[in-house]
Amino acid sequence: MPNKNFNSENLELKDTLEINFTLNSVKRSVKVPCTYTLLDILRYELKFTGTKEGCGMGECGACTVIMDGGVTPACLVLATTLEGRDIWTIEGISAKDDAKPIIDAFVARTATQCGFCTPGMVVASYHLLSKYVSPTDDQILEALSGNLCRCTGYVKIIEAVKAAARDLNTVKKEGRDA
Amino acid sequence: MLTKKQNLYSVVGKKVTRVDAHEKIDGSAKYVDDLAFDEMLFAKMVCSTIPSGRIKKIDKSRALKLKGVAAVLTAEDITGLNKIGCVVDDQPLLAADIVRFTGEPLAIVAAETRAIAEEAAGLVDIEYEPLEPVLNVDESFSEKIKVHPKGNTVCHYKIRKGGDIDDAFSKSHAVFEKTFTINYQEHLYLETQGCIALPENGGITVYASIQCPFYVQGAVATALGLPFSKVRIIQCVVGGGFGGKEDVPSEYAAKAALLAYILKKPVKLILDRAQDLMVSSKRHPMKMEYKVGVTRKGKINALKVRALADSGAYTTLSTVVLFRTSVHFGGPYVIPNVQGDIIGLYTNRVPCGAYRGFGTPQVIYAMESMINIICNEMGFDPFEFRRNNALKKGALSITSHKIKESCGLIETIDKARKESDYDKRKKEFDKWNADPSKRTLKGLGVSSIFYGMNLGAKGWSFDKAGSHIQISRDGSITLCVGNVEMGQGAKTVLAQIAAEALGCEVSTINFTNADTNVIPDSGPTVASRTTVMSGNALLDAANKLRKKLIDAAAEVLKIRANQVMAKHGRFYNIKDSHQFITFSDLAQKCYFDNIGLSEMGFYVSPKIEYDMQYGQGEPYYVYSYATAVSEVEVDKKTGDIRVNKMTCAHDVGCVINPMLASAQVEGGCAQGVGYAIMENMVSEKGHIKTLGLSTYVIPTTRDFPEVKSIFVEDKSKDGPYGAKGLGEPSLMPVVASVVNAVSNAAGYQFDHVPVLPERVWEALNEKRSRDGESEVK
Repeated sequence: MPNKNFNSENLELKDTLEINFTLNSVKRSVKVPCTYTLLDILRYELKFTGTKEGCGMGECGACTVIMDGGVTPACLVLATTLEGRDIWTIEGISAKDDAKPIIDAFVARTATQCGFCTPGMVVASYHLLSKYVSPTDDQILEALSGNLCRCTGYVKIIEAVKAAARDLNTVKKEGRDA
Repeated sequence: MLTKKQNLYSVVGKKVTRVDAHEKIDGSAKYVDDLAFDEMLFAKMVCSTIPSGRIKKIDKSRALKLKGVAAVLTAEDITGLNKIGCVVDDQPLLAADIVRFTGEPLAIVAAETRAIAEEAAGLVDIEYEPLEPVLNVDESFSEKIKVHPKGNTVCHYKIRKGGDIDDAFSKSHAVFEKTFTINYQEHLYLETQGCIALPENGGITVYASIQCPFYVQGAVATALGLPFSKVRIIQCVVGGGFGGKEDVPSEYAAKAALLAYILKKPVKLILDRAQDLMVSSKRHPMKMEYKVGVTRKGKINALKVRALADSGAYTTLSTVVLFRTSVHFGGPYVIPNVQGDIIGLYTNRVPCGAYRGFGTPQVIYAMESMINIICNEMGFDPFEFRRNNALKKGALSITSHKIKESCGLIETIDKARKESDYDKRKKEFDKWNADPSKRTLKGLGVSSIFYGMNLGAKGWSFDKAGSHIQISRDGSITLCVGNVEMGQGAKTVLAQIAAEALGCEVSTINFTNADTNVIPDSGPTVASRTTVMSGNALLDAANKLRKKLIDAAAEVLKIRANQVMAKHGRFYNIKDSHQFITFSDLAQKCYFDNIGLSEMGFYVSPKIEYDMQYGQGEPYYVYSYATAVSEVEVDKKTGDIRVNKMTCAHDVGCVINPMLASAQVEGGCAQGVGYAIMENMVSEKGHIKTLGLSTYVIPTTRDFPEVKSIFVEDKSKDGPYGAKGLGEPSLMPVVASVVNAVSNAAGYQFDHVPVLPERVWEALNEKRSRDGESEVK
């Protein structure tokens, strides 16, 4: 809903702001309208469209990114608060070696249907598994509880995260043994 | 049976992983909002803020003053016809004189950015003369206020079977009566409605998130006054549909197309979540009066039903949705005497339309609740009672359709009982509930369903499907069908069907998304029809190609055609598997021999006969069947409900992909659990109040039960490799089984859905004060 108190005569939506931040380990400098959110910057300015907009109100989790080591909905991060932040999106995460077991498990367990929530789910799962080596069932349910899915009933997503955790542990163990 | 099939087929029946998984998981799949075109403008709809009223004036001047606004269009700017109704002509594309629901679009704005478009939409000033709205079905039925000049009845379906219904009730041993009500359900696809319209070749091309490209083509052509051939619709990756992207996207595509056509620039229209919740269609709320007569031995002898459905302000798909209601309100049972009246009514509320199950989960909830009451009051076992009345081969449905084939209902009832460990759990729960020190009460609930496949007698003229298969000279294959992948797994299952028929590997198959320029009108992607319809259309094309390939292979291998076997990308000598030619070598040979390896396929649903006046005959050619058992736990102190486990046995004919089939069942369970106990759309004075995901609450990982899915495979003769549909049946038994479980736990049959914790809390308190017990501490 538009802001009714906004005086259209003085409206300057094109007022821009220069912001420097790190995106998937690459330093970025963007000039964007001051009303932009991180989600707008990703999708409109940088064409990183893997991060989806499901509600624009921080309620669905489709736009989940990792900011300074914590998961957050990109739609709630205002451009003005982005200066100097470290951001990881699905594009950066899915290219990382330690995300491969997650991607593979999601594929093998058919943990996606329409796919619109999936990038956010993968980001949240990656964050969980980087925090806990062997998460408990409760930790998995909690970590994904902010990511809504309307297709899968979450069953295969949870199975995939468990499988990925097992796989990551095997890789780590093999690494130690070698 | 599975083992036999595993031997029989090389790809069908196997757990093939999704062909579209990678692109969705790494975020590279392109949904419509991920696409951008040069000079693209952003559109925003201006919607009515009142439920009923006359439009006195639409003032665009303030909006047009805003820098960056390209146009504000109203009804008078429409170049073709101002109509959008896909079945009945009662709905304008943009309201011109009267608004009939809060959220009805009256104008459409295009601007350089999304933010400017949103701001401009708020600057379009509309003056109304408010009229008294009709806000529920009883008011509508009274016809005191007419929503449309012709009156408030959208449709009235009658089912009349057997003798005089009152006579049948008088001969029944026991008669049960109850009225049920059920609220809206919102699809809540994670990707909101959206499209991009491009001016192209003197016409319009639309990229969109849709279930029915051909509906959109018709709507755009009508609104713009263009021939169909000038309107091309291309399906993008669809972020969920569930029926919500059946007819509704036509409205948005036609508006974006109008802007693009007039402005000669690409126009993107993406609904924000609040607007999507406000204006897009929902599952029909219903008021359902049920009366059931039962014999001493537990046979259902008579059924009288009157259901009033809130169709909202316009017909949209109500006439077809409620046809389905009329066929399914008696459940999958043999009932000799039936009188049913299913009435759709206009109100000044959001139009209701298609949602997974298409008008049937509501009446299944009512019917299965009646059976729960009957079993509890008369002391019948819930499985034995259903078994005793179940449809089987040779039996007549309530429309007197004699079931001839593929009816695994009784097997689903038996399997659901066994696999849910019902008898053991029932004993444990009875013991648990008898212990006053426990904080919770536990309950089990059962529900059985049947569901007519494809579009049925009412929609036979649309029940066709086309396909195109092209084999390139390197042996890789491109498929196109007219039904869409919307997450259900259509591409994977259809690739398996094509691969089985062609003898190739699934990995060599690539899909072209549905495109009206490539593929003939294949009807809508609805009614759980895609596997059967597009599958059969692909088989038609694949069998033509297979013949050519086998003949060519026979020539190379110097054997007779009937000695060639095609499997896993090789053409073998059936007697000597070392003698073979690969699929790719064979494709290359055909290329140089000028044998065309490109074919169209076409399939038409079996023709059926149905009498609309009395609702008798064959409404659908075959049915899917299912039985679900739910285990729930309710908190005695708070009324909080937890669904702990669902066991679902489905007869879907032969399963093409067991992994995707169980994924469908799990997803259907989630939507059913949400509908039963969580999703409460609040509407006050014609305004929907729950316009976000924190107020319209769907299940999260924290709310979802363990699901056990079982498949009974009673082969259907008309399905590809014996398949029937599963998309909708997966949801349909869930609501009733959950509500029955909650009712059995609480000792009170809930007559309104959703059953929210506060209602359970009230019921438990009422029961306690009746029984003279003190409040739970």
